[in-house]
Amino acid sequence: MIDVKGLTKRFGAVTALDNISFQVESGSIFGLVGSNGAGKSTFLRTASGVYRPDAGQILIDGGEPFENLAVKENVCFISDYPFFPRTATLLDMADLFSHTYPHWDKERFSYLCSCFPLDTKQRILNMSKGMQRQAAILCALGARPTHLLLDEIFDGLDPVMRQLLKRILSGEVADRGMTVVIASHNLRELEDICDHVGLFHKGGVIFDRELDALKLGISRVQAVFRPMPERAAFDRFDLVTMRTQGSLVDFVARGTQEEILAKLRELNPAFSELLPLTLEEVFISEMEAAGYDIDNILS
Amino acid sequence: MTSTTFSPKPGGFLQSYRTALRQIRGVTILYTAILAVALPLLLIFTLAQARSQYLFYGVGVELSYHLSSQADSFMMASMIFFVLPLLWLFALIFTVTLFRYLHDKRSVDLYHSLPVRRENLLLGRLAAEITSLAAPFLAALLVCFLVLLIFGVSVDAATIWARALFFLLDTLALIALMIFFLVCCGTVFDAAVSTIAFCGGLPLLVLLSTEYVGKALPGYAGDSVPYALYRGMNPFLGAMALRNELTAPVQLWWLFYAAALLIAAVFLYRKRPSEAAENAFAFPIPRVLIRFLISASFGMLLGLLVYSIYPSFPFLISALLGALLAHLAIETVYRRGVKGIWKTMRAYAVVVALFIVFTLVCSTGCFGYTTRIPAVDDVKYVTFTTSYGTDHTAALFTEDENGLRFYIASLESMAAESENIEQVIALHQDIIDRYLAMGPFYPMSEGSRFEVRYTLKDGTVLQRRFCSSGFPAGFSEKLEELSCQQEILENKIDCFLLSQDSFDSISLYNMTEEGKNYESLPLDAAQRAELLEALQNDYLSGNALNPSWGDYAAELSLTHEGSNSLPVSIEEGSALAETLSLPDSPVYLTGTSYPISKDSFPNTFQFLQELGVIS
Repeated sequence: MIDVKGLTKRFGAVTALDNISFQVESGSIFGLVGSNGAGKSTFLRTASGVYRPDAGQILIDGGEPFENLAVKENVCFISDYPFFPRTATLLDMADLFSHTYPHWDKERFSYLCSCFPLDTKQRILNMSKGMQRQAAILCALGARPTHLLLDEIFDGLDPVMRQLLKRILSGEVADRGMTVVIASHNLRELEDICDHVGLFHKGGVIFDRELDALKLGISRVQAVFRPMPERAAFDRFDLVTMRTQGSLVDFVARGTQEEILAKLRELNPAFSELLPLTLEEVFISEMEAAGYDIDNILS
Repeated sequence: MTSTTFSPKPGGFLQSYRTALRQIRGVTILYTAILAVALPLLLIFTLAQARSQYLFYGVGVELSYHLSSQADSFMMASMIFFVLPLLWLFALIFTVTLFRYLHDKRSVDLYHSLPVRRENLLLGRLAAEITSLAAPFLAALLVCFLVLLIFGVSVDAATIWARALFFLLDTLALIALMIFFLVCCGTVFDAAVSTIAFCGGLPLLVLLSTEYVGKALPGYAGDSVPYALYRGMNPFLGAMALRNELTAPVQLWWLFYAAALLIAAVFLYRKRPSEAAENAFAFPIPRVLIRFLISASFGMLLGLLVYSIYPSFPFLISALLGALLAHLAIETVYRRGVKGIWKTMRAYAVVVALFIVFTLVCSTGCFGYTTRIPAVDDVKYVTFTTSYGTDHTAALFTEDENGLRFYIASLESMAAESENIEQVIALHQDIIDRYLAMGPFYPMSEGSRFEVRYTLKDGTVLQRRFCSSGFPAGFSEKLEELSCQQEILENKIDCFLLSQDSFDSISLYNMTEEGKNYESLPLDAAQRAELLEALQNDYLSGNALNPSWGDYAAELSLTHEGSNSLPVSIEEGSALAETLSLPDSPVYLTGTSYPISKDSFPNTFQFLQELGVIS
């Protein structure tokens, strides 16, 4: 389990993580979403022991990762731009990992090599961006970590490789109870694989929730009112966003579908429709509610 | 499924070492190849050629001796002028290759997320670098000794191994210095600038400060300590130790220096924030240190430069201007521009304050340093020298059993009698009085020097050096009068140390109007005694102290068994013997020549006339 308690990380005058607290259960796939500069990558680097927290704690299976070998032996981190030494081949990297991670599984690595179309003797830096990412994934999975931290891992992977990766990750979670944390802007991909999602914004965590509950706990309503009720009449909803255009009201509200429909009926709409939200729509709505000026950005 | 688990993993040191060795193996092979050519191969060629030359021409010594001397010369030249710079060069390449990961955010992400302790990551790479540098070097040396064995040549192996050890320790110190700055800095560029600035800035600051103090602090003569300081901090200048015998303290110093830097580097690396990669500095130490070194040394440089061109211009103003320009220049380099540079003016203010304090301390005599003068009763003996005049000087040396000469000392004016010590102190006091009259801020001094060195009865030494711009009126006359005292002449002029047994003949380069000619003439004991008496009387009369080299009749030299090395015997326990720290082995005087003229050397001139060798 990853237990984050009041974690703070500053870079000079900038506070990248501001007293955040949440938990990631073991054997789950946790998606980190958030605006640019929200602190997602900083969180992953702190969790992998690259950064030392300025305040608070991050505990992985009860231990702090910074300079803690017992924890780091079970954690693998793939950054948004994985590094490879200039002349390194996939076999060289496997050699490095095999002599560094105590649970390195040579057979597993060989199996994964057969799944991904990579030349193990080619210099990795001569490979494409997507193939370099595949190489990093192979090494990380070969180390058999209990916690895998991935930053923008789908970036550069073709659709087939994305599906393959999702399948392998799901398999590792199911077979070994591996915990995966994925930071990504590709919400469509996260929606497919994650069971929990945390939304970061300006160094804070707006929420962290089970994905299904998240998607079921927020809905979009489009309704026509004749006549249009007062604005205050909509206060009965836990509104995230709301727009009106003539007699048409379009709003996003938190709550179960039954709750929202019951409240909607009280306003007696001429027409109403309740739509489920995609993760991307949830993200945009929550971000807007958090003060992210989406209309201004998109205009 | 089979899991592969691993051998001993003490925090990842061995893994780090192994990975680093693999990373630099290509360059290591190149380095080994260069060494193989530079040492064993060229040694084989040298010995083969020396043997051929010997067999063809004959050299006049035994073959083994000829080959030994050739091998010794080759090993010395090759190691000092090629191997040491090669070690430095590859140390630089290896260090940058192995430690540049510290300055790249992506590589830091990888290496700092691995289950390897930071100190082991650093020390493992250091160990790989040392192995890659030392192993081929030592192997090449062993091959050299094998070659020497095959050729049947014996060399001074102890010296060669001592030199090799020094090379490795000096290079280790250089690596440690680079690693220290690489850990402190966020980019390779800043680390390189800092290392170069430290290696250049510290000697420059010490040299220029010494030069300034020599001018600004009347009496200052202690210029030997700072040289040791800057040589001991700079592995490049530290190689100057090769000019002398490599003693254990020298070797231990570099080991200690390297260890101290590495301990500091490891300590800082454990504290180093990973996010420092690609930023200017992880720690402020080098920035503060380098900025001060560069700023202060260029301040000194401009101050002294302006003083040498236009002495009336205040030193402090030109020094502060130089310091400001250097401060702005180094900050511009570190900041990659001038944005926000004015925020660093507080650091410049510290330099300004230090300059003001430093110049004030010097120009007011450094808390009584200038005015300190010993009491006559406390002085055991005193020596004094000047950097001007045409004094007759001579040097003493000794010889070892192989006939190799070792310099002992040059003869100086020395007084142990209280009347003469009183006179020296009076002369010293006159200079101090002159400065006190110029106070409270003494001006900078220049010109020829007068140096006085008191050895006190408690064993301590008080040494002062003054420049001619601070000499009072009549100083030269008083000094000349003092120099004519019999005790001082007897200790300084070589002919007073000689006996009639010290030489057997004279050489005369005659410059009379009949034409120049060279003549060598043996003298009997009575003649030699008479010649010495004549020379000594000429000096005691004061005439010979300032001889005219432009207009003389003959140049007289004394020789012993055809050589100008004249054996002397100095009374054991005498002040002169104590001053010179004479060895047990025989002492010789380098025979110097006397410009004989009727005015300067009337007695000697007359003797030579009577001898019929001069007209």
